[in-house]
Amino acid sequence: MKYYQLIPRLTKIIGLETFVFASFIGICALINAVIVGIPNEPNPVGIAFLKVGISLLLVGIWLFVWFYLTKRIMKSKVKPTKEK
Amino acid sequence: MAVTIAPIIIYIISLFIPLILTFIGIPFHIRLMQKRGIFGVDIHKEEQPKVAEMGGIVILLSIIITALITIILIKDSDFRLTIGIFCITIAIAGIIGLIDDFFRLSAILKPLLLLFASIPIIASRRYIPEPYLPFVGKTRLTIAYIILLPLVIAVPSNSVNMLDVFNGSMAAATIIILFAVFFANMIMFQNGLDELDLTYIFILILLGALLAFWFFNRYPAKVFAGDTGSLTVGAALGAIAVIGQLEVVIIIAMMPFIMNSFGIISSVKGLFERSEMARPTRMTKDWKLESTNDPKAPITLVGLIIKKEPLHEKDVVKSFNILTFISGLFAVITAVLIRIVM
Repeated sequence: MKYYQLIPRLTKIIGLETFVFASFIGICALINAVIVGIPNEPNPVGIAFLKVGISLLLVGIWLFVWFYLTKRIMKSKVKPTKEK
Repeated sequence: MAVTIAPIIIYIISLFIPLILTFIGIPFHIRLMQKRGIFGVDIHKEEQPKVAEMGGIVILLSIIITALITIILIKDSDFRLTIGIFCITIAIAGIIGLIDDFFRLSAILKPLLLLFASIPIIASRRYIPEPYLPFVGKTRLTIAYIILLPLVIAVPSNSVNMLDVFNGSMAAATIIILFAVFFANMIMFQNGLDELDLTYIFILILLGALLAFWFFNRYPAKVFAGDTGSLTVGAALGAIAVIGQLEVVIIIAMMPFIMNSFGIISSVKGLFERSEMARPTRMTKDWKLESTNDPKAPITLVGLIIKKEPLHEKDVVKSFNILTFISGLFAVITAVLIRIVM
């Protein structure tokens, strides 16, 4: 089989890859827009700790969503083709 | 008087020495393994050929020999130390793989032992706890980074190991990742080939060894990498991620590997050896791979690819290559988005 002939059967996985990548970029944009902008005063150490904690939590959620979607897609059954 | 060698010469040596060493070494290795009766049966072929095992030993040795040559050629002592640490890290992973090839380590002990492969990097402080994120740029993770560092070596090693199931699958996919990481490094740090960058050296050494290995491991395989090979290659990717500050780029580039691991771990609910799990695939009469649909079998990326209809082994590997190529493109885009804010 040629490479291009294989692409139609990979659409689901390519879609998942694209979603995982796009959601990661989205999370990074969110961290940049919201968390990075939080002022470090009055407790710089505590705030920095909180910022890292929230960022890691977001990345953790992203990893979990990736794990969950992979599981869902892999476990989904193939619909049997109707016989005429 | 010390002679300074141009970086481009060191890069050429880094690519071609492991390529030549592996290319010459593998035929000897195949003969030795056949002579000693150390082979695996390629169950995906009608004639069930006996294929030499543990080709990863040649990959590991080629990388170490080339690294030692570059240590001699480079004058900077800090660079020399980093190359040495890279060698020790992959050697630990390779030895764990070798022990596993001979004595079959349990599926839990193997990843646990791989956590120790990061000790040389931690002990010598060959890491910067400031990974780059798209849009955000440099982050500071001092404590969290050290806690997560052992996983950066153990996770890629196991992920590469889990995808090394077909002729040429591991080598081809890793070659694509290395090309993507090479360009990502070029984009992020704007280092031309006229400057000495250790990340280029590590990528080229691994690329050289894998290109030669792929030649013998592609369909129909004459040699298998074994756990020695897959754990060495995975640990090398992890070490490149840490030393080259390319953590995020390599995670994105390795998406198909990680998805495959997620599928396996979620379906069998834990870590098990391949021999302990039900087979997810079987061969059709015309020697294509089809899903067994066994509910006890692990759910793998291959299972997803062949879910609708059976596929030839060569086409399954091509499918892996397409998926890795796409994730490689995403890794390069990630590097561009990081560069914008650097």
